[in-house]
Amino acid sequence: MNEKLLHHVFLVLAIIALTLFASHMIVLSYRDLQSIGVFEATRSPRSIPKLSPRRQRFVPTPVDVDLIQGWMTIAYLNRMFGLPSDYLKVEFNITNPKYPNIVLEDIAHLNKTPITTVVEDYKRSIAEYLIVTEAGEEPL
Amino acid sequence: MISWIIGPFLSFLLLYKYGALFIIAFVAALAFPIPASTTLLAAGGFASQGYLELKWVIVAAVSANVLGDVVGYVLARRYGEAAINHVGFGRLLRSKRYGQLKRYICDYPESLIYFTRFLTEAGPGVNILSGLSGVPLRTFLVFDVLGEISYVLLNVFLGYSLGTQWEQSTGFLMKVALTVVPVGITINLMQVLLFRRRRANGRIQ
Repeated sequence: MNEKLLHHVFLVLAIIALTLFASHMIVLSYRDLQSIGVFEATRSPRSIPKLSPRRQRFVPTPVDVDLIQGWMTIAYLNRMFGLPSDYLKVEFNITNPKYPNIVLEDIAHLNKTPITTVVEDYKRSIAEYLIVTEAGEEPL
Repeated sequence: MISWIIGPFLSFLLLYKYGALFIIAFVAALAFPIPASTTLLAAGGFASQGYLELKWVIVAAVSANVLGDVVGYVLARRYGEAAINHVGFGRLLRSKRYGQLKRYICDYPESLIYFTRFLTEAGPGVNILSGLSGVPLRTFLVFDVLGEISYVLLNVFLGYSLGTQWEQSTGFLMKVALTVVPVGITINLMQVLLFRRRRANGRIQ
């Protein structure tokens, strides 16, 4: 067996070993996360009734308003929680023409408000929307 | 808190999507230590929520990584030695140690290039060394593309499978990176030992 061929055999073995190792770690990680309830659904299917089956598979199940952070944009929050596109615009009276491509930290900066306050306000507003839609009512 | 460190990168990704992903991956592959792996993992998570398209995330990340690597390699190959001489480190290039390192890289470039794709901090250094050592472009490109595809798929599919909980898997990725490197080093050492043994036996000149 020549040196070059032997080198390629080593390389293929390395790739197989890496793939097996990565797969094993992914399975272990998945089991760990599953055991602590990360993949448990926390939203009722009633909160996403108007989506087509194709879109429903994109709606993350363990969505919790506590996941909201300052780096997120409103467009992302709309997608993450299945909000109507103008819900937050009306709720917070946003006039910025860039809506919904605005980062929460930028909103805090423009309004001269602490980011923690802005995040809490958005958490509360979205939680209210989710409670109302779970109860089968139209949000105000 | 992870969001404090990479928050600006994530905001950039949410605002400019594939263009932002391409820029972050390219800059990280070229030379700068920015959190590209975490951004890639997050992009997988965003794709699982339908905010980004999975196929375009993969295309943007692989192409940007490969382009960044190749630019680093080509710059080092064309201008590397002249630049090092210009800044006064020319003696380094003529040292015995550098000669040994160069010979080692030329003898075993494949696994070195492939495995360092999983470490965004080590990858640019290997690209530059490969260029300086004169590793053939075809060899570099083949194992760079293979390595980058594996690295991008690992990160993106992990993020995609974990969805909104992607932040919790960064610790796991660190473990993977820390394990992949010793595996790569071990395989390289085995190659070196085998090469020396065969040379000692007179089968290789």
